[in-house]
Amino acid sequence: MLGIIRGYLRGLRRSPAFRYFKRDIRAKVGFAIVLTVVFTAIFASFIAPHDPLEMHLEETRQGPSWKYLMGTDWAGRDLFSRIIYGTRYALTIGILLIVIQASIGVPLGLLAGYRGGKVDNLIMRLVDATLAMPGLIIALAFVALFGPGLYKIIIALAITGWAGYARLMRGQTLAVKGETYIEAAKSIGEKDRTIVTRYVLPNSISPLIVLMTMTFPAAILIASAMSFLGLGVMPPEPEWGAMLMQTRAYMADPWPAPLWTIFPGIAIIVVVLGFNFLGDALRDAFDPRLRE
Amino acid sequence: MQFIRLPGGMYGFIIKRLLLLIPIFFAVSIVVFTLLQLTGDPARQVLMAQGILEPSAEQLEAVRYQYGYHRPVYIQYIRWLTGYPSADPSQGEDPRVMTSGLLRGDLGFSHKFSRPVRDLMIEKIPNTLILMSAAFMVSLTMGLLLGVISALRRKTWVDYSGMGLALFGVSIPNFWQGMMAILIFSIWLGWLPGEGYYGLKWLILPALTLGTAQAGSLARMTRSSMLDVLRQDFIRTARAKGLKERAVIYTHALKNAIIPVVTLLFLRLPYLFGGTVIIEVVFKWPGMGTLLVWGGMGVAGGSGKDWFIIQGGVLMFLVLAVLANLLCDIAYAYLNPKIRYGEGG
Repeated sequence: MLGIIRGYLRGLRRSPAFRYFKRDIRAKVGFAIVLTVVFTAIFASFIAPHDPLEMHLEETRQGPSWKYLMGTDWAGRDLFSRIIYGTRYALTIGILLIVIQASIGVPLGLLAGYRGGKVDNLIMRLVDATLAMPGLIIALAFVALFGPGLYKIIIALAITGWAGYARLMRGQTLAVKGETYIEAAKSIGEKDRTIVTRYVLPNSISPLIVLMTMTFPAAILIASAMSFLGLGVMPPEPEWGAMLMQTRAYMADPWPAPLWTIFPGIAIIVVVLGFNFLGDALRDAFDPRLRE
Repeated sequence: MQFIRLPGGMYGFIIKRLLLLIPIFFAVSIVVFTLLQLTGDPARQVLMAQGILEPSAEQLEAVRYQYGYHRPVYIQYIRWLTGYPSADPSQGEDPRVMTSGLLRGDLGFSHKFSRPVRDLMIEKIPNTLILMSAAFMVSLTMGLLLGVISALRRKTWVDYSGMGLALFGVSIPNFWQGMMAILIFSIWLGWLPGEGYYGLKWLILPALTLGTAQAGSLARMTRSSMLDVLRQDFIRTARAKGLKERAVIYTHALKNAIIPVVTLLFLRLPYLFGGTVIIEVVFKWPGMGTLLVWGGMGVAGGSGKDWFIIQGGVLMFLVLAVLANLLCDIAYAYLNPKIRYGEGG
């Protein structure tokens, strides 16, 4: 696996796609945002001036000040620290979700595309059915059964999320299956397993990376929506969707109550926008038709 | 299907597709039925909906016999679906609480609201459909307009700001957009009501919020589809024939660009369901979403779980998804003759 990645990176650096990507302003902005978010998540405990759960009961409902950069909420918790810690939830959900989705979808897609016939038919029926299902409703039913929580919603959302990966990988596999080098590999007696991992998979990495970058922000959005509904991460944990759910009760309150609504939302937008910039730039770079 | 001769063409395709609904419906019913079994003990769920959170062994046993949960699972499924075999009092089953079957429209009884789930659904579904259709219209107009204009003014500030707006729309969590709409237009400015549904005025904010959330991705799809079409040879031919630019754009390009967009729009309807649930909760819209989240799950302001509402709600949404998928297939077949004759797909 590491060898595949190393080979891929070596090839990538010389490709026109990479040159195009480097010049794209969206790539730069997106990369900067994503790096900042990752940095913030890793060093949250150093950056955040306060404990995100600690209630400063004498200083509730404070406006922004040097002590509390974004003010404090109704329970006297530092909003800025809570936002900072929220990056951890967003990244955990995004990363785990795409890893689980890809590790279900990619093998199934490879199998369907490479084997063809009945296996292909069966897997693709399942994929079509899954894609037609409303993911949020399925996740809701899952939570109804097993209860809310960070890891449970990740599984709940993965139930429907893998299908996109399977469809992509099947298409990719079908596209390269007829190539001469696959035939050559077969004729020198390579095993199916080797052909799939050494020849088919490496040729599908670029679209896979694009899909991952594109589903990352979608994962963050839907997970925060689940928390907002009270079905995901539960308060008082500083997850942005959960914070917004609690804020609803205070929406009509005087200043600084609106800040409790505004800041978590902006945090979500910044992270999602960063990944969307990156995803768009990657997609355009890998699609020669869109290049000028 | 070889032994029955079905008519060809569009009608044949629709009939085939409708026949396919039967096995799909069974699959959906099995999934939804299995959910109740997966909770571990259906009797406990019945008592929980009645407000008895820690039932005694006797209470559980009594309910189990009353509702017939002591029977083998396949009998329970057949009964849940058809109402047969009907309640057998000699086994302790109570005819008053026994289901008369899903096929006869019995979705169970909500102890929390003391009403049949079917009545609750009939009350809420129209509201949800109103909200969804209004949002659909908003997203269609805004998305198509933004996408087409951006494609025609490619690489100008119009394109960049239009696509910037669309990207922003894709990146905003729609529940937050709804909260901000309430904050600005309802609480600060006082222009529009933000909670409940008592008339057309109440529809504006939720429909706009839900619609704009979808419009962003629609605009992006429309733009790339339009650009694809504008590169095609037949556009060059049309221009070479000396047709006016307007005619080229509106009759040739737009018509072809819309096909993939409309299909994708129908394909994305399941996302709209999810979005509707969230927006309903934000705006306290009395629809299926709030019924499911507040009534069924008992979260975000509701209290106590009622499994039969969850079951009914999930079933309704799955049925809606299946129907949306059917519409999508028919629309696609209508637009793309290859599928109609069983050559493609």
